[in-house]
Amino acid sequence: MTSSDDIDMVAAEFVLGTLDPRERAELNARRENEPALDAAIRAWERRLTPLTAHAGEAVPRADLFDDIRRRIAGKAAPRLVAANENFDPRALQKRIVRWRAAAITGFASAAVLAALMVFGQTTRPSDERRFVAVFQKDDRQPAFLLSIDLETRELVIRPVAADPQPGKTYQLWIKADAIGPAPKSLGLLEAISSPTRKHLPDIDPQVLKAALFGISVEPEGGSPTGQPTGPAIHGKLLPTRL
Amino acid sequence: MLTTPAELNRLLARTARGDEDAFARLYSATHLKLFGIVLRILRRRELAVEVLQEVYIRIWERAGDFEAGRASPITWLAVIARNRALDEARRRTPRTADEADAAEEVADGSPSALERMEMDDDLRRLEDCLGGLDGQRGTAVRLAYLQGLTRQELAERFGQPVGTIKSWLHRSLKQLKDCLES
Repeated sequence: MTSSDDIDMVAAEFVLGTLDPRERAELNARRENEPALDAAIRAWERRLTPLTAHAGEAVPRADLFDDIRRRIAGKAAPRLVAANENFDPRALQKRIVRWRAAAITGFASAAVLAALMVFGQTTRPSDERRFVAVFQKDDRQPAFLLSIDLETRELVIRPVAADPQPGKTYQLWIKADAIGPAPKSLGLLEAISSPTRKHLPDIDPQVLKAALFGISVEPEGGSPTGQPTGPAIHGKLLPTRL
Repeated sequence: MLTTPAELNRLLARTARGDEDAFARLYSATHLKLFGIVLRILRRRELAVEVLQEVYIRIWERAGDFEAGRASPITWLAVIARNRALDEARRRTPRTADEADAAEEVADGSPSALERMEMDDDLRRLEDCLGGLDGQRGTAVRLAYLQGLTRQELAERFGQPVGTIKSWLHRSLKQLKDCLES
């Protein structure tokens, strides 16, 4: 058992930077699954960050950003842009009409069909790490589609029929027994009109596969309590190849 | 820095959607500060530049994780920079004599009256609380935070056993927290 004082002290030293490499790595892993520890670390980050003002400013070489731009061009962005290019909301809307007909006649579950519609043409045979979840509003049509690469833990959420709500944000949650009894925030969906991408914390792929994902409506800036407070919709992952 | 937190919030949100122009503006608004943080901890320019590059790639990849309600944008960015620099510094401990020497040129004492005038409220409050710690202990906290000194390095610097340094830090941090929350 670790008392809250111990947690606070180890969090403080983590932020101060005086833990040895082994302790640092251990804490980095623990904070993913221990909300109290994570909160203590964040609180110490808030307390001590003003000190960075004393570090002063320093000028790196002038062409550094060119290198950074080249590296991001070769990294995360193209994959996500490529994924986005395959997504045409209008084509999807047309398909939704057909999907509704199919769903009503009971041929296929909505989620399975939507997954096939969006990813059917684009997945490669070797792609067994890509999963998708569909979030539905009142069971009529998908409101959001979530796709995830279990290996890189990159996640993309595309709104389909979700409306922006003034003064509100959508917030993404994950719930799984292995993570804890309460839903854990995966962050906000900032722009409802375009896809949001996120990098998931270190969660076991098997846990992700079985987890329940939720999207709730929250006040601007996110849930004030750290738990979902507004109306929510849910989805589970399905393989993109069936 | 002239960019307001609200502007940084917007630039981060746009970066999260893959907007490279917003990312370029975020870089120009923040890189001098983040490089200052990283350079002070790592001391070697060449290495610090390499780490700064990784810091911005991480910011690009993780911008979608930033939650405006939970942290200020500058705290979020500074934490990424410090953590990356500390991980790199720890991978390399013990530091070479050159690197240890480079630390000496960095001021580590209390701020001057003039400096105090330029501080924002959060920093002034933190400085007041740090000022309440016994002289050497306040300095130890500053050196650890700003220059990334390990317990061992602090022990050598203050001529104390590592165990004593550990209890100094714990007592100082507890006192600091009580003071900030009072």
